[in-house]
Amino acid sequence: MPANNPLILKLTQSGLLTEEDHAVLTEVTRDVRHVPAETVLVEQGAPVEGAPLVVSGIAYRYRLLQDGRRQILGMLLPGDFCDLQGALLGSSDHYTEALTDAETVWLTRETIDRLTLAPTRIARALWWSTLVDEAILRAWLTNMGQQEANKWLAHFICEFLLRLQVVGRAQADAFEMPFRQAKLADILGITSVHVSRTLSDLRDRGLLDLSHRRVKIPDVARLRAYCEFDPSYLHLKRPDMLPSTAT
Amino acid sequence: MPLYFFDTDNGDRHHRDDDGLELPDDAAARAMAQETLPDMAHDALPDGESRAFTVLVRTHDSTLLYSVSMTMAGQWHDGRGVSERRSSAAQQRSNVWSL
Repeated sequence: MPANNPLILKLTQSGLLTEEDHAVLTEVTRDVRHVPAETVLVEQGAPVEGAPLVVSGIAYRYRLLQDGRRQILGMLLPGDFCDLQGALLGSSDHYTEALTDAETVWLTRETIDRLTLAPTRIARALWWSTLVDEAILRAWLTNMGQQEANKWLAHFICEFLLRLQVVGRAQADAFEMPFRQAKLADILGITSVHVSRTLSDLRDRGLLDLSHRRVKIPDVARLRAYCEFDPSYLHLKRPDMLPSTAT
Repeated sequence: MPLYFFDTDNGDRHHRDDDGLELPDDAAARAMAQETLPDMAHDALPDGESRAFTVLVRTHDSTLLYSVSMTMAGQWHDGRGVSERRSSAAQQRSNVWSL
């Protein structure tokens, strides 16, 4: 586990942790295993024992319709638990899959119980993390249901950039786009052709540059204003640890 | 898988696809073109009473393979909007575009 432990970086944003908690979190994230891209980490409907935590790379949650159409329901970045609820519920109601080559730590049910069922700062921080996941889902639903595609895509990019910055995986105004158009289409709920049209619209407006899968945002504040991105729903309590454009 | 290029137009903005998209066959390309129309319509706020959305599918050598369009046509029935209809007809003419 690298020194910049993503779980510590992420939970630090809850504003609840102290230095003493770092040792516990370092201890539980020691046993890292490598998973290649497109590995299914948790299967929909299958019994779940414990929960995987993403340490590096990107994973995502999705549900499938019978005809094979897919809706992506969330991106899992370093420091994110794939399905903390699954450990309590006993089975998962969605798939979780590695999008890129990734490293994960599989926390057993016993470890999760130990971390979450005691009146500790870490338990509160994990609650914070679960509630923020729900807030992200609400923001996605609002955009998916009501917003036009170019603003929804812009909002997704603002959110993705900031979440990467939380765990030190992005610069102030740029990141590596880990997915192709078909995946963006399954996130936004539109066709790949419309994604292509939408990306070109954002480029023409000077809101983002995309070359060799690297996304660069010339003016983060302008992109945020364009798509009504207000980061308060992410409940980041330590903006001092983020790049100045992020807050 | 063959590469297909999808040019799209919503009456305001034309997008020529230079990257292309790999799809299993022509039927998948046709379905992709058709499914893109409602996405485009969802984004375009109705401005006036007439609007056409078009998707053209080209093959790797730029041959036109398939095209599909969808038209919105609104009309008042209480006597108003005669001048609007005239201006929307002008708008429609300006929407005509070619490869």
